[in-house]
Amino acid sequence: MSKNLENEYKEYIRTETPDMWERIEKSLPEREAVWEEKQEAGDKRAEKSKSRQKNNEVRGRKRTAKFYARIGGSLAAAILVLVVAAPVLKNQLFSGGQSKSNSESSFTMNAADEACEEAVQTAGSTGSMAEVQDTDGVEGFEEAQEAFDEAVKDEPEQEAGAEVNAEEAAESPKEAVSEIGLVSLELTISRIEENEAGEAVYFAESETGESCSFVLAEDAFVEEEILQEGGILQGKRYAVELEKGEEGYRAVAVRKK
Amino acid sequence: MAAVRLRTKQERTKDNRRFTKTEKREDVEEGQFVQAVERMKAGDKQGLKEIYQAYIGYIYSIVYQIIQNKENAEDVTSEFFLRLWERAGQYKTESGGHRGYLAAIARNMSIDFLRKSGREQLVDTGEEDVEPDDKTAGRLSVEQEVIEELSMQEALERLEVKEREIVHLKIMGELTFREIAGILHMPMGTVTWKYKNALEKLRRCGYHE
Repeated sequence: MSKNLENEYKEYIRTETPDMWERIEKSLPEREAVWEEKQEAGDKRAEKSKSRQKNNEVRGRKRTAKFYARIGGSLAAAILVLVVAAPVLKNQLFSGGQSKSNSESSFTMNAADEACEEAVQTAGSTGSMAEVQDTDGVEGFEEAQEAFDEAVKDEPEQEAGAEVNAEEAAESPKEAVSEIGLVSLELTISRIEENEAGEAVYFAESETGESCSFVLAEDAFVEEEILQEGGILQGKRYAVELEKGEEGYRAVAVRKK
Repeated sequence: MAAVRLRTKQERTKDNRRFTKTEKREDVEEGQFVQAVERMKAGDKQGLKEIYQAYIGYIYSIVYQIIQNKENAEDVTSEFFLRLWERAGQYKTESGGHRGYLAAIARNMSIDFLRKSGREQLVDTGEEDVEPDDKTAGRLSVEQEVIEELSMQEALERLEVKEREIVHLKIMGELTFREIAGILHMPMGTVTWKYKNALEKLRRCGYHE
């Protein structure tokens, strides 16, 4: 006579489980006291971190203002150089084919030299400014990067992986296609075995009689209906998307046929 | 095999997300659990007692399956409920079903316990160390054994440790294969396969689904 697994199992668990409520209840007051102490300590810590956060905010605002002021300064200097140098250089270019007096040309040359010198000096000063600004920029970037990292940290790992893949694909589309390249087959599962890693290895045959084996990828998509039937079953036919890895095929999607 | 470029990993991820959404069952007891947690937050022991009464068997078995010692399993289970009381405020309804949440905490606490008591290897090196003959016995039972009626305990002894864990989470926790795979850190295909094997072994011992 067969017995109902679910009912029998639940009954078995019920009889096997000791009663621990009294013991737990006794420990609760002690825990409450400890918990209150912890909470107080936590509150103090929270206050400290709040004031620290405020200080950081003020410091951050000051730094941003400083950063924009420096950018503005260097931009103004660059514009000034362009305004001074452009007409002189223009003159020099257009006067190249025309005959001019020595004095005129020497004046132009001198003016150009001066302009160049000025440009170089200004460039030098903006360069040093840029250096200062750069170091600040690096700091700013690092801060931004930290903030971004924090924001991204909460996103699911899979998505992050997908983004990386997308980046890789953008860099070398051909390689990405071959890496992503999947095989879609209708397979009949002939047997299922366990490998050394404790994973289920599915041995299957295609319509044309070719045989292969695969394991399920961790993020594999398995159709709801298959799960309701108790998973991938021996003797059943499925539409399987296989991805070739270093250790053989991995199924990335399994659907009912 | 003709290679055809199909969906990218991003598309698959999307698919999986859609799938996970549709897979989530409407758990009527989730509301009761949340209410009990709310009461616990307000310092009402009755909230904890309700959760204790509903899940003591579920939790104790998860712990015992890992620790394999009654006294220690009782200690860890008590500690589990005390921690649940202390951290009631940390429970988030959107984090998934509460049964999976409870199972994950119980498992982690049990593994931590083993780690602290220097018995980590016992768990990590696999079930073979815990019950060396179980695996072989299990395989034999499927292939050779004639159908016989056994007590539930005897029948469960024929299962591998992981198979027992999966059966427990499936029956007592009513978890989906995906949730179980997440808790046990195993591929979903392996979970479904082991569950099917376990059912087959239990069927041969006189227990039907």
